[in-house]
Amino acid sequence: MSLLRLKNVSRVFGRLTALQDVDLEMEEGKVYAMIGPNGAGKTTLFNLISGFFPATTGEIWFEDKPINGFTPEQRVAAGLVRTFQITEVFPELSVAENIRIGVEAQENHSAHVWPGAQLMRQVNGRVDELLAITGLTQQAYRAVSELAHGDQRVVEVAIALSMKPKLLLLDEPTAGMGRSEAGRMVDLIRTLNDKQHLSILFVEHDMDIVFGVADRIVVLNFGKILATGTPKDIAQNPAVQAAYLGDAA
Amino acid sequence: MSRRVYVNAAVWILLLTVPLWFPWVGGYTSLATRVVIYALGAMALNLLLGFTGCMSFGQAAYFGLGGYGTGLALIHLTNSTVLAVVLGTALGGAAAFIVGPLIMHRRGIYFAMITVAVGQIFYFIAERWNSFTGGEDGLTFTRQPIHFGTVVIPLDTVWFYYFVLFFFAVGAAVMGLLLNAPLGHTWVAIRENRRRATFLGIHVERYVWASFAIAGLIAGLAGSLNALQNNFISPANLFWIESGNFVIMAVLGGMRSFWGPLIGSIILFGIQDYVSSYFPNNWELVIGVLFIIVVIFFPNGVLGIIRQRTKSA
Repeated sequence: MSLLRLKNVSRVFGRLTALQDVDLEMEEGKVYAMIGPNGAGKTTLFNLISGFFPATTGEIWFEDKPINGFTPEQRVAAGLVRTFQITEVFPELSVAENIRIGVEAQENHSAHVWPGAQLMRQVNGRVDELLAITGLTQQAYRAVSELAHGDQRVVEVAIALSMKPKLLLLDEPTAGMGRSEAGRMVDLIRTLNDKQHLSILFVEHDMDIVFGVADRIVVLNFGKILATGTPKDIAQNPAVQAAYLGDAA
Repeated sequence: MSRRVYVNAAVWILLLTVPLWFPWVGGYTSLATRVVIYALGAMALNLLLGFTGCMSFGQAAYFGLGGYGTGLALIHLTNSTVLAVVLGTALGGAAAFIVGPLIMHRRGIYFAMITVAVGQIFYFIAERWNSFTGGEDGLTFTRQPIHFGTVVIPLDTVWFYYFVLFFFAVGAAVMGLLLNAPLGHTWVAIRENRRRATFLGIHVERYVWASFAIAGLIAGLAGSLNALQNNFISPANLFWIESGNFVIMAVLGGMRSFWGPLIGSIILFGIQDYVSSYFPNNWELVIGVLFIIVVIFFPNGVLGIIRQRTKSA
């Protein structure tokens, strides 16, 4: 069973065709990286998958269910959870409060007006668990706006994890980070995949990270998929070398 | 946590003992009653403005409807002041609940404009419907003593203060409980980052609606108490300038704080009372200048300054 499947997916903005006839099949339990030059359509594809806007034509299946007509909220409920290129957190709240909002939303407690002590214990237990997984326990009670940029991005991942994703979509998770911060994010991606068996799709510009972490690489160029394969396949693919890695090699 | 307990204890002790100490600082009990009533209205607005991040500029509509509901109930339906409060509050809450779906999709300035527009509709209805609302002249009625079996509570000045304080406590307790429950966490999440909230599967609009309805309900309660204090209600209580008063109180006192609007109400009525005895026509200028200073230099209001001081100390 494939986790996510796209068939003939296109997206047109006015006269611009941002994506054209994209076919993609993702297996469960793997880490996928999406690469491509600026304007290749990576973010557009991300937005289509997460439901930020609909595909102009084509179909998307998640766990063999068609999700074309799903709103973003419904996709989240189905297990498709994303982070954003620009960090999207709740800045004035503490790290723990940020995660708690996610936990409460995931467990459909967001509208509770009279939570019992047992419910709050259960919620707080899950928050502690997520703090531990992401290594944020030390910073739990600091306001997110006071944290370093790298830590803020980790908070965003923690919020996403609170939604119990089946597929985690990370839009440029290391954008704007220094080496050590990026390294920590890479470790987190690895841990999530190894220990939590989470399927991950991420967009990334840093080739060291892409080739170091991904099981599969998807290469986009001019709104089309140029190649999909293991890092080894991609490194040896002449079309990819010509179009994208050419100037780096 | 413990700090919050101390703050709450201090606020309640001060409020409960107002008739004892307030005259010593130059106040009088009915001024305190007014401060508490408007504080409740401003706290209701702040549920929307400070905790959900939606700028409502039409809160007076529900405040005024609460007053009309209570006044009309006393004139046509009942001698029970308590029942009249309940009916007035219900009218404010019901109106906000019905208006909610019209405004919940809007954001920012559009949200503010629609809340003003809807508020003005209620104003014009009250002003034109002479036979029922008394039109521009408003309605006059008399709050009735409360009968508990053989015990009669007269609702004169001091009793009425405690009558108001009781309902203020109910309103504040409801808002405090909601804000500490997951519902309150969700409202704050919407204030902080709507897009992120949407992508957590939160139906933002429904929560804005809930916030608007509850803010309207509590505003209705405050408006009902206001009408009882004056034994009078007129379209002025529905007018957008009255809405502006609530916004000024919330911003002056501190939008991020639960008790901020109470501080704002104290400041506003304090200045009105003291300054107007020296400059009867210009006290609003003082408020205006103060408002500008706070907005530019202390965006989190008076309580924001205190909080920052105690944090860095």
